Amino acid sequence: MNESDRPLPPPESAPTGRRSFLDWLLGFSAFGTAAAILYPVVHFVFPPPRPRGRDKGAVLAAQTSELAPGSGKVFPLGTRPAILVHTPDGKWRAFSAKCTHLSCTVTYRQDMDMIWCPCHDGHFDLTGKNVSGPPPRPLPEYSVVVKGEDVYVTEEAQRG
Amino acid sequence: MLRLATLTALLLTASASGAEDAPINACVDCHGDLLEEAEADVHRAAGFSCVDCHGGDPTAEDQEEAMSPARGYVGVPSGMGAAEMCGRCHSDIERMRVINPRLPTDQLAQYRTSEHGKRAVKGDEKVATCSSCHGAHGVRPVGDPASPAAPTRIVETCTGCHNQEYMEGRSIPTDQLQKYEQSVHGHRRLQEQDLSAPACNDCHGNHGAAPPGVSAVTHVCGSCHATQAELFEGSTHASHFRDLEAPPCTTCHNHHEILATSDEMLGIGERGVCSACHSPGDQCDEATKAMRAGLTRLSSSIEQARAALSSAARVGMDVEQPTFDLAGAEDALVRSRAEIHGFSEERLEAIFTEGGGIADDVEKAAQARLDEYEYRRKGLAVAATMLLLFAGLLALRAHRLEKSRDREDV
Amino acid sequence: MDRVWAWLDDRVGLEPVRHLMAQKTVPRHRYSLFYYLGGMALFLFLVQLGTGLLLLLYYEPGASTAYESVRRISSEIPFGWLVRSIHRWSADIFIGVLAVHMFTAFLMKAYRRPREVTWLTGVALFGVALAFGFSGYLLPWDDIAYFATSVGTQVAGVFPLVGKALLQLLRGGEDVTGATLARFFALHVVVLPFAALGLLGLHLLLVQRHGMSVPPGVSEKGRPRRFFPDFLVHDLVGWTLALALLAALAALLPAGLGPKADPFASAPPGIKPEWYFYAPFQQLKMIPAHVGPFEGEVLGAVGFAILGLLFALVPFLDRRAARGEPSPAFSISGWVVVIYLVGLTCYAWLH
Repeated sequence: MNESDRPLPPPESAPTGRRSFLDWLLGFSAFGTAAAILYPVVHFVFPPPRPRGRDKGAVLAAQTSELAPGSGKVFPLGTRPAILVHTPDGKWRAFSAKCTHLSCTVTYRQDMDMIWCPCHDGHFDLTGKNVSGPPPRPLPEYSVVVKGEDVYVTEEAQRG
Repeated sequence: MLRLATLTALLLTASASGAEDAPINACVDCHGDLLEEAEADVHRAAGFSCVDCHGGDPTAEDQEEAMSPARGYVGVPSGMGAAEMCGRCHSDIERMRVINPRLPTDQLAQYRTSEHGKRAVKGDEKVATCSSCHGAHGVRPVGDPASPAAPTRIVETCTGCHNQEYMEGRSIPTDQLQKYEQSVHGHRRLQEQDLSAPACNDCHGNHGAAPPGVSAVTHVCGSCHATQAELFEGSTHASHFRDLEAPPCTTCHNHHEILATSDEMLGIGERGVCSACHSPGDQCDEATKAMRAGLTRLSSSIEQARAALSSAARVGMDVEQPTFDLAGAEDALVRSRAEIHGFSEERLEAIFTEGGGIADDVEKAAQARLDEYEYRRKGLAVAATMLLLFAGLLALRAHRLEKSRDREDV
Repeated sequence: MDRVWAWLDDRVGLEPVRHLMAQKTVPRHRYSLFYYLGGMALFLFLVQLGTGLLLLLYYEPGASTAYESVRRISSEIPFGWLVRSIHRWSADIFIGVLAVHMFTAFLMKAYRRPREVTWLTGVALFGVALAFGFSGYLLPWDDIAYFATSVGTQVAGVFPLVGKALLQLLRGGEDVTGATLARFFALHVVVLPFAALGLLGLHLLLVQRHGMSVPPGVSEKGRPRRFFPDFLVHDLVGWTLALALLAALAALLPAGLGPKADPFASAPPGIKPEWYFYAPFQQLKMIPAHVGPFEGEVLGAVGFAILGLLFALVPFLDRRAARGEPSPAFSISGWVVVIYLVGLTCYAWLH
């Protein structure tokens, strides 16, 4: 091909309509990409409200006002059921709520002041010991910490 | 002979533990083979020897002298005689309090009321007596797993007599073991070694062994299945069963072959147990149809919730909390099956509603997670489009740069 | 913009930077496509640094808090799932790209004089990347992480003489415990980043100093391309596509979390390490328990160590390349080893 046959290329400095649109689009998509990256990062960095009690590595099981002495409450500890008991003499104790017989969820019986399993009439006293019925072992006990109005339960089993 | 006797007596003296100077015991001269069995015997450990039960003269080497009734020899007792011999000590409260205050002292009294005892009084030689279950010369505490009366061996012991061979010629059924082996209790006790599952003595009693009467059945079954027993006693059916003199529990569930329950037992269908008294179209039929429908509804709500949870889990969403919550619905299902024994449609409906509500909430929670996943996909589409657009335009710009470089060189 | 430049130049001295930007070129030839790999690896490393830093805002190390914090990141923190999943996927892709970058550099004999130190820092960086992968894998503290770490550190203990000490050093004790988690965290977040940045800094500095290497016996096609902005724009295209891929993987195949680690539970069946360790893992499984007087496991571990050492020392072993001649013997051995390793990896993946 001859020099003279080739059409003169448009000078760089005078952009055509199409070129300026593409440039604009490039700028727009650059901005869009930056936004697509920054949007999640910004939302990530600002902390969401957390359920109280999580910060302490324990689960907030109840408020002290929720359970009068001589009552109990089943609540989730992770994926497992646990039972919080406010004993008639004012102590707070927590146990696994899975009956050691066939894993039904136990409940607190106010008329007996005992932990009871409705499936086969298993009874546990308020130290978790299996005292009557088919359950072969006591309920594992968890640690309870009372801070002000809040009652926290940790998964780590009670020592000793 | 004398040397052997002295040697054996010395051996006996040397090996008796916790006993004061052991009496000379010539019995073992001839009956030495029993010594091995008696190795772990509790009575021997407490210092008792042959004559304390059998009588006779332990010092006499001559058999006729040693085993003469004149010297107190009573031979091998059997039947009620054996029970009374054991009872001489074991029913003596003052004596037992000194030896072992934790042991009960009512065994003989109980035995007299039992089927075994009643037959023994009539002179039945084949009937069970103390030694049949506890052994004679190697008596161990019941807690010792080697004792035939230990919980791990009691089924074997009872069915040692209660089988077709031994009971030949008698009128009582001999299929208890076969039936028990098929039952849920038998399965758990014999195969899974779960000692909380009942065996013969848990329902029939130990020393006072007898089949429970019609009125006693609820109490016996209800000693573990308290919920069902309580519900039944408070239901309309309790008085009807009493009127018909039909034993509760066992009429529908059998006594030895208590099989796994299923929802099909409810009603008068093919596997329904109500057809013993009820007919199609009557009040029971209507009610049980409604109950079955409720059970099916609740079961399928739970299944649906579970399926939704696993779909969400499969795409990587966190389903920990709703999985925990679903247990509440499953609990409701278990409770509803117990509640059937109260024969009340309303109470059952209340449980179905509660359980169904939980299952629905869980399904909604699972759906929310699937929706979140969809939202992420949409977000991805937007972001990916932007990124690809950017990449494409950059490539275009790169291409243009390339071209202008080529032109520069020309 | 120019005023900012002038101000900085006056204080910091930006002449070397300006010089580099003006002069740096990338040769064009049959294999010049592979020049993109180094930049891609760098980009992915920066992604790891960024997402890792973000994860650090919420991750709580410690046997009683690690698992729960990772679960929280995945399910409660806004876009936590995105950050974590990108970090997880980018780790895999990063190591894959590094492996290809290293192998192509090997085949192109980029290790010839004067680039021996560049090569050594590169091999060391690959080791650092593997260490990053291994240490990071434990941090979620789920059952797979726990047992994979047990198995992996077990292999370290197999080395003669130093094995036992090495195992205790890695595990912080006899077994994998919270102590192991603590030191793996320190490794992953402080020690290895420092090592990486130091080695990478040297590596990149040397690349600028020596320029891009052309394989012996390969002819260039046309003018070399300018790095700024031409090659960089191409790089950017690749990086943007990589980011799009990471986003897609994160959204469609998010990182999972097994049940929390329980040292008393038995290992899940078929426990395997991460895919980049499949080759040595599979090889160790296949070696018989005893080979002559040696224990199979020891032979395997030492064998791999020797292989790694030989690979690192290639610049000093390949005499022909040092002279500027093609050395097919090395290329072919390299292919054989790579095909074998890839084969082992695929085999382990399928079983």
